[in-house]
Amino acid sequence: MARPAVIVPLDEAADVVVIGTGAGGGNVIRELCLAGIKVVALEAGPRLDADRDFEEDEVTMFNKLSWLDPVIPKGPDITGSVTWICKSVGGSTTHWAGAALRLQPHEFKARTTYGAVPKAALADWPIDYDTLLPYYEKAERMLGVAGRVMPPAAGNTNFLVMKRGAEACGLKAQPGFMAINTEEYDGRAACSQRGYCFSGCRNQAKWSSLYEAIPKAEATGWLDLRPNCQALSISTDATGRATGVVYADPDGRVVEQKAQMVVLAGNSIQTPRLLLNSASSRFPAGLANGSGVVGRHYMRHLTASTYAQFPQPVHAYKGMTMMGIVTDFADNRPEDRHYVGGFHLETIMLGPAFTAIFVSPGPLTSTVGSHALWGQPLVDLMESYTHLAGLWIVGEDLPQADNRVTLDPEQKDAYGMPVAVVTYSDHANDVAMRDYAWQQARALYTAAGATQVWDTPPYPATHNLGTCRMGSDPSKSVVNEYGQAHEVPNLFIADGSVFPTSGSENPTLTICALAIRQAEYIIEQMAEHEANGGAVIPDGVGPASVTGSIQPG
Amino acid sequence: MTDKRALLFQALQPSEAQTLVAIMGRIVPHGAPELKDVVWQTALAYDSQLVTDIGLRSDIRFQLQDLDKRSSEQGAPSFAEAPPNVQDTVLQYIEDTALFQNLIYATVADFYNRHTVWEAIGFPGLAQRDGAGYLDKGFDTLEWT
Repeated sequence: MARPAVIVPLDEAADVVVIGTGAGGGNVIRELCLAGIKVVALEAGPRLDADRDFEEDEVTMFNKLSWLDPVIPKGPDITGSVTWICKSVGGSTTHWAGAALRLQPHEFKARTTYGAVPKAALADWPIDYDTLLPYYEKAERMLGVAGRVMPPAAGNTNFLVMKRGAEACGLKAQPGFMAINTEEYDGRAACSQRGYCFSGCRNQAKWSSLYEAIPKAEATGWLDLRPNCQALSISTDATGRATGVVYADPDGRVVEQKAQMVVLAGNSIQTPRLLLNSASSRFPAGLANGSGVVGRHYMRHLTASTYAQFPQPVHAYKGMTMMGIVTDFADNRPEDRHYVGGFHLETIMLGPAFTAIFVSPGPLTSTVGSHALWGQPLVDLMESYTHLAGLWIVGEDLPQADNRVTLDPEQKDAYGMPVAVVTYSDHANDVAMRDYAWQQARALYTAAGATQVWDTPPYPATHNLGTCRMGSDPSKSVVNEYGQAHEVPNLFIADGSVFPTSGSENPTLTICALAIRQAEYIIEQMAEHEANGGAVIPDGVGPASVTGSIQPG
Repeated sequence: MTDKRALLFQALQPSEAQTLVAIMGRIVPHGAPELKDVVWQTALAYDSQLVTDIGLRSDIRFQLQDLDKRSSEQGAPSFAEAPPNVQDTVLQYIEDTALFQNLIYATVADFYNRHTVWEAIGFPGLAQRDGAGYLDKGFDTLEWT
């Protein structure tokens, strides 16, 4: 039987305050609580119950789950609706498709592998594939990844069409690694092929921290989970250490939770927003931003989709949405393809309303100047809804210093926190890759017998990455290989913002693996601290040494 | 002649309501009579937003008048009474405006999420509300591949 949850008073310094409960936050919370560490978790959104609150209605679920607070888009290639991420306990792991892929070894060495690409801020990761491998394996066990720790997913009808086209083109379509139960696992049910993966998995077959990591942490008694609490800033003391988190409580009161350590996992837009909003006389450019790179190198993956109409029914909405994958284009072959990096083709399908909105979208959800489909062409698309197949293109986009998250100088949210401005423009490499990918996908569906094919531009971004990049050089990165801020030793970042480059794989599994590795490091540091009778915690680059080491350039 | 359903609108006047329904009808011009009725529901849902969104109400009202004016230039008594080809021609003039793009979004997001439309296009979403899934209902079989 679970112990009653600890309640940490605001003025008592919690061992760790974790901001965000998604893939990164959820894994850190689980690991810390299992080690007996007292955690306060602040989650901006509500706590939903999978069975009671998840409905078979994509529009309703979009409104229940999503982060709908204002974000200002800027730049030619940003979507009018910037992101498709979540504000609820479990974060975007409620909405994700479950694709649980490891990055490829060469993607950890993007700068070395791709060389110097003009206008791209490529970097190697401070860790390699082999270092992360044991944490990938642990994450795959915790999440329950089909194809790794249980049998692979069965092909749905959308996959069978992809496979037919792939075979005709000499490509291979196969079940991808999916964090969706193909058999009962870890007390959660097997997938019922319900289809509504993006709208929250009602029977909990698709992994989410909402019903795996969080309940496990709660069962220890060491988690004080606070939904509907939006973090506003991180406080620091004269020595530059984090001392607490200022947040708006569910009644809208602004309060502060004292903390010995802070883990920030708010995703790649809210995390830099919070750091930039935590500027002080000691950190005038924003907390942990002596390097000036907080908010920079924003990536959202090279994405696009292809939808195709067939003479016969497909019913692509049935079953596990993203179970099928083509990996033939995931390698780096610039000599043949005239761009660096790779991409994947993954099965995708939307419900009727989102099909009508997104297959040929307008500026509200897509880029400036796009035209939403209406009239007879829309009717032709929608009357063939059951005859459509679809795939998603997801590839590596290149980091650029001017693709970034900043604070709007004027517009503020309900709590007076400046609204994030997100600026993005495609790199020439991104454009070349997307055009090549559309061609390949068009060829695939044409070979499968399609009568009409749509090149669909990017959706609002689900893979937001890179705005607090990790590295070993404090003048060029925000955090070290453990996600520990170079300038604030008791501040960690545990979300996709630490990615120096995006890789071509769906990022969730990598976020989970990094979070598990970070938690292990924090636990070791705390144990060491205790053994030393309370010396500097944790070890790392302290503020004093950073002040001397940061030089421009 | 005013369609009685136009009196159900609260923010828009009956004649404006008929213009809005006519616009939405050209955004989703399905032939099935039951889907033409759904357009009224979608228009009513939009009207309910205009009850509190005074700014949008004012913009829409101006746009509706503008469309009537453009229709009369094409020889029609009003937009709502213009033949479909004239309505489409008139709408193409405003296709790129933010207001019309927003109206497309509002129309399709509501219209294609309605159960009547799901039934008409063959999407069995309503039967799925029990959460049981397609496990034994053909998720993995396709006769033609």
